[in-house]
Amino acid sequence: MEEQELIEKLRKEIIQQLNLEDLKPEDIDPDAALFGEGLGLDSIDALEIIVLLEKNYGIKIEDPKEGKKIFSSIRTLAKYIMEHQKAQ
Amino acid sequence: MLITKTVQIYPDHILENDDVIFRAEEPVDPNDFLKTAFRQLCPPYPKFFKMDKLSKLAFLGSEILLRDAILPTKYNKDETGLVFLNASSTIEIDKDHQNTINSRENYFPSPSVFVYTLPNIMLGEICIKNQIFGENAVYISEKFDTGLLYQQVKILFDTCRLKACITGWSEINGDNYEVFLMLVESDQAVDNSKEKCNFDPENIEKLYKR
Repeated sequence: MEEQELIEKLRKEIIQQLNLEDLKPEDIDPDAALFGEGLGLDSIDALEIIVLLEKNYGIKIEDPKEGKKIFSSIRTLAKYIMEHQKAQ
Repeated sequence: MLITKTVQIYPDHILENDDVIFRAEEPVDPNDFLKTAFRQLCPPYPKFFKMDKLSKLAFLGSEILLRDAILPTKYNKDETGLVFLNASSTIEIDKDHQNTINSRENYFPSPSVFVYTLPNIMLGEICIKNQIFGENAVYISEKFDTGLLYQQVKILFDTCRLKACITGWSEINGDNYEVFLMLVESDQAVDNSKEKCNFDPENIEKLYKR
């Protein structure tokens, strides 16, 4: 799957998984911060994304320190998934 | 103690004091009813859509109850409390959680579902939004128990310096749901011109059953 295609998929999955009712996939800037100022997600959302990665992509985040970098934006999340899947 | 406002939510309509302020045109799923009513009656609050149905019910009720109240300026943050009753606790979201852990092969408990498997969370959502730091409690009771509610609220006013309390019933089980919330304020804090009635078991019962 190409990066852009994966970004589109992740936008839809995140909206559905996190119940972001008032957002459309195109509203999420792939380079905007997911937490804090950008999309304004919280710690429960972070846990929900960890579950999403495991359930939909078979990826387990073992080191919590990694999370900050991986969850910076939709694009960093997509890159991480692609790298991880390539390595598998 | 005086009841200064009431809100009632039923599967097809919402009452603010005696006035019907929202009515569903046709029977709808509880989640859709609550979301439509919230969009129509309350200021935007994205977190609402992430809540479970029980918290959505309680939160919607509290938003309507407090929409013309001036609690934050009238009382200190620890002078407002909450006392809720319900019969089914969090059975709806408990079932959703159970579905995420039924299968060993597909074992993915959802953190955002699990977090709502305590009835006190509905009070937490109201406290966060309104910056309420006073005492709060949820009691599980087979039916709406006027005496229990009255006693618990009175104890908080007598012993915990409360001057206001959001109190009542918030219940959902399947497609059946019901909210009856009252804003109770201390006699001294209420403007004489305001419509109100005494907070006592007889009046609570009368308002609940109207």
